[in-house]
Amino acid sequence: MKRVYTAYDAVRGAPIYTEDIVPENALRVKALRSEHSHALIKRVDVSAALEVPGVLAVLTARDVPGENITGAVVLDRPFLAYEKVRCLADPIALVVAVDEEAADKAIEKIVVDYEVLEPVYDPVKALEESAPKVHENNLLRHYKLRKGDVTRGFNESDIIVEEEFRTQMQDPAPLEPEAAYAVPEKDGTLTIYGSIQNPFYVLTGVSRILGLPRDKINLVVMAIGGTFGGKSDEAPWDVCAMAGLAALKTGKPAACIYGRDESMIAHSHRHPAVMRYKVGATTDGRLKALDADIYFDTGAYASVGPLVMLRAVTHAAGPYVVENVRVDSYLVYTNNLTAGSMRGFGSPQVHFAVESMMDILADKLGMDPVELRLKNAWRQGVVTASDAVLMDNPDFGVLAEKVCEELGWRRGEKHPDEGVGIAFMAHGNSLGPEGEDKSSATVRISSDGTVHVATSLTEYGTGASRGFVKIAASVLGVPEDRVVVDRVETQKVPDSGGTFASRSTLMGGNAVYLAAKRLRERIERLIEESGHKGLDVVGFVRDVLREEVSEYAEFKLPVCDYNPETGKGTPYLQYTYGVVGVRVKVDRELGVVRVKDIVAAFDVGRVVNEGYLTAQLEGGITQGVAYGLLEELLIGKKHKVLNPNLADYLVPTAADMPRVKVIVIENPSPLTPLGTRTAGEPGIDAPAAAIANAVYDALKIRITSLPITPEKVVAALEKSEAIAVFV
Amino acid sequence: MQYSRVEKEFFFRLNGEEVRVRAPPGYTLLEVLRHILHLTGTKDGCSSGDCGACTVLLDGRAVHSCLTLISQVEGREVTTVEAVDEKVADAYARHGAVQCGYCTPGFVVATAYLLSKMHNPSDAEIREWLRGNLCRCTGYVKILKAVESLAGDDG
Ligand code: FES
Ligand code: FES
Repeated sequence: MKRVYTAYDAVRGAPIYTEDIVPENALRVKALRSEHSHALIKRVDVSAALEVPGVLAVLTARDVPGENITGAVVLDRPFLAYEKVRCLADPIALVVAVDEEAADKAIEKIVVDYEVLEPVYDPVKALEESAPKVHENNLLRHYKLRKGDVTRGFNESDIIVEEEFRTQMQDPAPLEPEAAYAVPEKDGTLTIYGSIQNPFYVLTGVSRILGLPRDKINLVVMAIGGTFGGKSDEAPWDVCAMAGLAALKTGKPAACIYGRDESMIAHSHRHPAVMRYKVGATTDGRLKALDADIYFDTGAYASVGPLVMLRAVTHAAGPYVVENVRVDSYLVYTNNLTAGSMRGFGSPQVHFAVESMMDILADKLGMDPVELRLKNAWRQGVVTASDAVLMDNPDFGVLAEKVCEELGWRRGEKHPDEGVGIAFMAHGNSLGPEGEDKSSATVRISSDGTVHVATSLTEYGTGASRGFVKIAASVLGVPEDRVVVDRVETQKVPDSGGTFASRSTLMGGNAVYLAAKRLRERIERLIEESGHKGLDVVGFVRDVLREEVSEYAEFKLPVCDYNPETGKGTPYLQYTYGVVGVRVKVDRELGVVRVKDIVAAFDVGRVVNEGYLTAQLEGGITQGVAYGLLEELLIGKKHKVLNPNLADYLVPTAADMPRVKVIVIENPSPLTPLGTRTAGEPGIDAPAAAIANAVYDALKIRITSLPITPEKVVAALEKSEAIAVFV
Repeated sequence: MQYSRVEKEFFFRLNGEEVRVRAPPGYTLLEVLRHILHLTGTKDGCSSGDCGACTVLLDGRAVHSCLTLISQVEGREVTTVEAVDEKVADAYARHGAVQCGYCTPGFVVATAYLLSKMHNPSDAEIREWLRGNLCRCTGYVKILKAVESLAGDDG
């Protein structure tokens, strides 16, 4: 069985990614996507396309052999659109051709007659009675958070602040676009190689679309060139099903590889949000009431939106003790591109709102923002905003102290147009209310003494597989170079659930730990019985037993009892905690905000692999800074995506980023065997708010919408100067 | 439908060896490397000059192979990640500068180019020279460390 690749394979250019193994003579599949955000499809004519030299087939909804409906949580999206298109990503027809050039030519020849409908792009407007209907009902979910009585809370407050926040659509933009390569096998099965984050979920979707039973499809996970959510939801289902469908129809190997623009349009994005907050406190800074309405725009289809909404609503009051809470959150269909998984998963939006509110309040109270936060921050045993007792053991005091010291928080002289800002964060670990969380692993020692670890958790640069190697090696007492992680193939590995919610090391790691422990105990018993004392486990298997020994284990987290209808209960067992501090300098003329320093301290529980851990946090923070300042996927006035490319969509370069300083604090979780906390996502939650707070500190202007572009800064400065003159 | 494509023969030096390939004249160097010569180290992240994943050396200068037509390469010398100094690649692996690895070959080639021009670049110079290469995973901290570890290295 093939092993998972390593960093050394990548730097030397080994053929490890999907596109690397596609032969030149493989057929290519390309999709014709909708020209309109909202329209009825009146007629599709593919006859001219079929005449293009090199074209083997042109497929439409009619040609889908299984069910032409798909969706990660709600079955609401046709695999190939018919009757109606709801966003610019909707595929209407697939061209199968000998190469891309022929496919592109054929796509231009397909004629689609549309009846254009009015689109809606704003989640608040989409809920109005008269709004265009994207689906039967534009309101997809309504989830709550409830504690105490907010009316009483505001009555008892000395100071009340209110604000509306808006956040944008962020693109995950992994460097490798989505790709799949399908090979029809002689026995009637289909092997699909792909850049797939969650192979068993994709298997479900692909088998439904192709009408092939699960055991007739083997999904092979190749090295993944980044995902950040983009390869988590439905985009990999699409590429795998598109390649698979072409292979089935022609009997020949076929590849579906998205170009950059197609990738940016078709995969999942971060939900744009509108968030209206009202917070009340006493003069000494105790939080009395928090009241919020939150609208998340899931675009044309649900994808994993309902799960994102659960995470957002349960994080909507921040890591603070508030006496009375009311939050209503609405997940809404619009004609935007589909939002779903993206690193952070609903958490960055609400962190931006809450952490901005904390500074607005601190300013009103004339209190230091760090002091206000610490006064209200979670500690073990407090009652959280969903009226549940926190069993976990955060220590924000230590995190804040480290950051303030390193950053020089409000010490010394303030330079003109410079400011510092801070934000706290807590990120619920693993799935919590999003689903039962179970993982599994097989650890085996083969007859040649190699230790194999198999899970369905995929590797996309998070270092999860390195972590599994370390855990198995240390439990079995063998050197790390004796352990390999098997490549993920759905016909060969156990279903360990998906690789998302930064759950790999927490969920997979604990399963690997349990399986390895069982294996060691079993072999030690065999050693005892056979009288070969003094032999190590691997030596015994290799030299005495001479046959493979294997153990399987499952690891489950208890189900959390948060109820989105009542708004009460425990949403997550444990969290990752962090404090992020930034120093910015703003150019008043141009409005450009430059981050000069960024310091972040995280409580990661227990460190399994420090290098990978800090790499994850640094990467997350960088995407968080980009969320705050640069990145926004835009649909223009003419209803076209304006910047689906890496020239106009601004991913930070080495020249844009300050050197991120990450401080790691080990404070093991009391609630899981290894004590680890997750690290893949938490980095992205707080930087945007910290930057907004720093901009306020620098210029006394409050930017309430992301990203904080030069235009917004200049406009806010003009407004504040106008007010100053007027007064 | 019958399909035939026009191909032409091209000749250039690749990683120290002479190669002759037949390819459609509209192919880019990237397509020739990956699809015809099966040298898959050079990656395609955007096909439009925006990401740097496809960086190779052409007569010793870093270029985007996705923007370089194969006809422009005729008679010239191409070096890909497979042939750049292993020290550079190893520094990336050792410093944890590789996460998903997709950007890495491009960075390795760009770094080799930088070091061929500048023995001991400053932090600002490294950032400036690598700004044509995007990495979505790392936040660049460990990449900068890897490059610094090579700077001023005579061995
Ligand atoms: S593939 Fe050439 S620059 Fe992106
Ligand atoms: S390591 Fe993934 S893009 Fe750089």
